[in-house]
Amino acid sequence: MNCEKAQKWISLEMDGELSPRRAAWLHAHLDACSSCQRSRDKWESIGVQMRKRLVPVMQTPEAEWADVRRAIRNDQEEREEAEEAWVLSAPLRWATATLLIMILGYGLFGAFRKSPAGIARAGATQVEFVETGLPDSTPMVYTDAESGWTVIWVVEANGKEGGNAGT
Amino acid sequence: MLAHKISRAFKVGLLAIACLLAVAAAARAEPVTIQATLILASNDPAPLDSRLDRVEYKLRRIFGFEYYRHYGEGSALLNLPGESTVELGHGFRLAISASGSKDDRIRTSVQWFRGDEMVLNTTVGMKRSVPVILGGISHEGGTLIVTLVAE
Repeated sequence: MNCEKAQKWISLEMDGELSPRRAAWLHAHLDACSSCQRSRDKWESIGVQMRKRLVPVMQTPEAEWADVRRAIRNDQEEREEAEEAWVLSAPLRWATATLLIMILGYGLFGAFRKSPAGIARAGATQVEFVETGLPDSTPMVYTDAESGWTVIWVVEANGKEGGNAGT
Repeated sequence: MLAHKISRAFKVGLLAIACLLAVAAAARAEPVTIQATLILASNDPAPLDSRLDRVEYKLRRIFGFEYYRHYGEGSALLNLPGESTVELGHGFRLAISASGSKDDRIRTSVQWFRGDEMVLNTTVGMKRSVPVILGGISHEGGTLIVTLVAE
């Protein structure tokens, strides 16, 4: 809240036309702003002096209409402030929702990635795909636990791959 | 006041996106060298080769062959993404393409050719300095092994 608005609301509060919510905002501002606090004290002292004079107040039709218009304007301003609050909070809500979706998505994606769908996931190397162009041969993938090396081996059908492999 | 808050949030968002793009660009720019060594494994006696000192004892434990001959080697310096061909000698070559880095692994596709014949085709996520072994191809009474190391 700025001081200009505070000055206006001080006047409304003294007239008894400030809503409780606005009054709370105003008091919070007054607690932090000595200038507005002094202004409020000044207006209060003027009000006290005026009440001491006991001048009867005549309510003219023009004054009544002015009261109605002021009430309408105050109500409209309050609605606009509520809309401002929604506009401010909407991006935050969307950002929070997006963040949650990203966290959940990352978690689920990570879980799927760790599933045994891949050919070999152990060790430092990840094997995504392997094939051999040799007829009647089969590729084999394993990871040596001791060295952490991943071996991609072509096992030929006729056993020519060297019988010692893997022993 | 509302406009000011939205403008500030917009600026913070732009800054965050710029930081992410900068990090991604730095990760993409780092090149990788793929070192390939062609080895002929067999049980026929062969002299010790100092070029295999770092791998021979491990190969012997894993595969069980008695002797390992250095048969050829080559390397390729790749920007990510990038591709290259490594001639290993004796009619063997590797077609290598590295498409990027993720989780500290370099996604690398390797096609091993004997002449025009593709003997092995694989895609692996390689960690730097951790060898990947390809092998099993019969050749001249032994079995061929290729060690691949990304540095």
